[in-house]
Amino acid sequence: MTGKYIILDHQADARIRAEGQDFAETLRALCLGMWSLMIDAEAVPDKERWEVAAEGDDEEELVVKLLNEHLYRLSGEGLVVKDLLVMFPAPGSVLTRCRGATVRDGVDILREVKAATYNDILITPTLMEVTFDL
Amino acid sequence: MATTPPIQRAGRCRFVIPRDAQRGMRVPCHVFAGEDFLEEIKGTKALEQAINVAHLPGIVMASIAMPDIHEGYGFPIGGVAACDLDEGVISPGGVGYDINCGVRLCRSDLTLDEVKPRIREITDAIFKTVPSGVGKEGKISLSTDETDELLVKGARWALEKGYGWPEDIERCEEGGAMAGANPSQVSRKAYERGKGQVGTLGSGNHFIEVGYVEEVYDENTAKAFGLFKHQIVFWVHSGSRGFGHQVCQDNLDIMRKTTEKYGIKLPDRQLDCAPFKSPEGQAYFGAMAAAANYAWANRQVLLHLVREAVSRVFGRSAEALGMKLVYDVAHNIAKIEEHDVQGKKKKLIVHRKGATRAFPAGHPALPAIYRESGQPVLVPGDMGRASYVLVGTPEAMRDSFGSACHGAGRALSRQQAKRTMSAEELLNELSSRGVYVRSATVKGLIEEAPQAYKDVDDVVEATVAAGLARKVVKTRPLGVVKG
Repeated sequence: MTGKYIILDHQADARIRAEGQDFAETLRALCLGMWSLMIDAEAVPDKERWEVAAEGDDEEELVVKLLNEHLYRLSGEGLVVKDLLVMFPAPGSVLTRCRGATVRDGVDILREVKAATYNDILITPTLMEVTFDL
Repeated sequence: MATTPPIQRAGRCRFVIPRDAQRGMRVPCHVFAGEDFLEEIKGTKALEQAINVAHLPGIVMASIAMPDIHEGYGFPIGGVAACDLDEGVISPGGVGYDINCGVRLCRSDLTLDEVKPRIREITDAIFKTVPSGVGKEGKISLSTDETDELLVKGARWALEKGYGWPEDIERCEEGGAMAGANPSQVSRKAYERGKGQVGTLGSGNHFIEVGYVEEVYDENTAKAFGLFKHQIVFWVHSGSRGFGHQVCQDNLDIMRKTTEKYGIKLPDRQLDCAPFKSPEGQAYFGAMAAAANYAWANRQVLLHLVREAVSRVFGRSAEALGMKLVYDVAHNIAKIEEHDVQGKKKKLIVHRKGATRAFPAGHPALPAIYRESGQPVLVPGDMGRASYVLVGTPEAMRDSFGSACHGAGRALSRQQAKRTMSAEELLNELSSRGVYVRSATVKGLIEEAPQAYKDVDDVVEATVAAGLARKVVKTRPLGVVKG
């Protein structure tokens, strides 16, 4: 997996551009890009394993719902992703196998991401751009 | 950059983008802005978004852009849109993720001379008392039944639990609780996210500020608001926390389908909406009102914590320190209001996204204490410069559905802000201005540097020049707690 991401300038919030060789690789890079807004992955202990899943009627919805499910799991259970694998168990569904830690392990959260949005969203198998409300 | 549409001058700090029916606009766009700022926003996404809002079914009079407009999602931040209750729509994008993000201002009998030498002690005490920053939970943990009660009662729930004074309630917009809250329309996820966050400040641009009244512009109105020169005041800026974010997200997912279902054609998917009276529109309104009430309860508890902290520092009760709430305003909300539209009274659903209600003297929705003066309009600036208390005007009722600006508005992206200076330089600069800051994270602080925001003086001058509000007092920060 060699997907990559960059944080683009956005007046009020943050926008991530992710690139990869296929949908799974690009989506993984996008997820890690979102997490980079909140944590320093290098500093997150590798202690926990969990799964995050989402379903969507189209690719945009699938991606946005997955990203928001990650935020929900952080908010509700304090789960912080260090790295993840992306799988597609069935059409219209996505599963991420995550490893990392919880906020109770002393992870420093740099800033809050309220939500992944559909604002000017771009989803292709090799290039994705998503704006995040901070 | 989008193409700049034709813009016509309509008065001082007033401009009109005429309705372009071919484009699909149902109404014109009215822009309230200074000349220089208008030049800055021409061709930007923010202005394009204001034009897009003019496409909403049932929108009346105009899509309105405030002097602090900047890019949002679907709606610009600093946008107002009122839709007919029978024929119009409600849009979660017109409210935003932080439902009922808002501000409250608390006065005191303390003066600048008493507080300036002790500002570190006071700011530290507030920082220690108020949970702030990402993921910080409060001392209140709610069961589902308790949450249901809070979602209907809003600030009154907090009062009944001992967090506040009875008079606080009438000093909140809507009495601190919107009618129509429907907890049954709120998802399990929102309950989960909200259960530990009442009485927490949050992060980003949320803050508590200890400030002083630097200048009084209108003695009579200032007196009616309980404000005087060199008086110490406390600003609280927060919202509905993760609870509101989840309510917004849940309903955006639903509204992605309703726009098509109801045959609504829009230029931007982030404007997704549903007819107000449709099942989906009513479900969102009920959930949004519940989230708005969550925010009022949250700010009520935050004020209680500030009172406790300051009281401890001075060894006197908050009552003895005169720490009365001046007012609490929502600046991300959609509300049912009655307005004059072409000479007829009409019930409208008024979306204010980064805009403050600014009702004038005599408005029946105002509490008795402010019916003669008009509503306090609270406009916080950035942590290094100033904030303002304005008062609503009859012109605002006529021209902006009783709305005014909500703050300074961002000028630089977070990335740009980080490039301007280091966190250490920022703290030094603020210190040289006499401002002491405590923050949950220093890295986050730099993104909220004064340079990242427009000068609130310019925003307020344009608002006043356009006739949407009058200046009452200006305050300066002394101590700031950032999330």
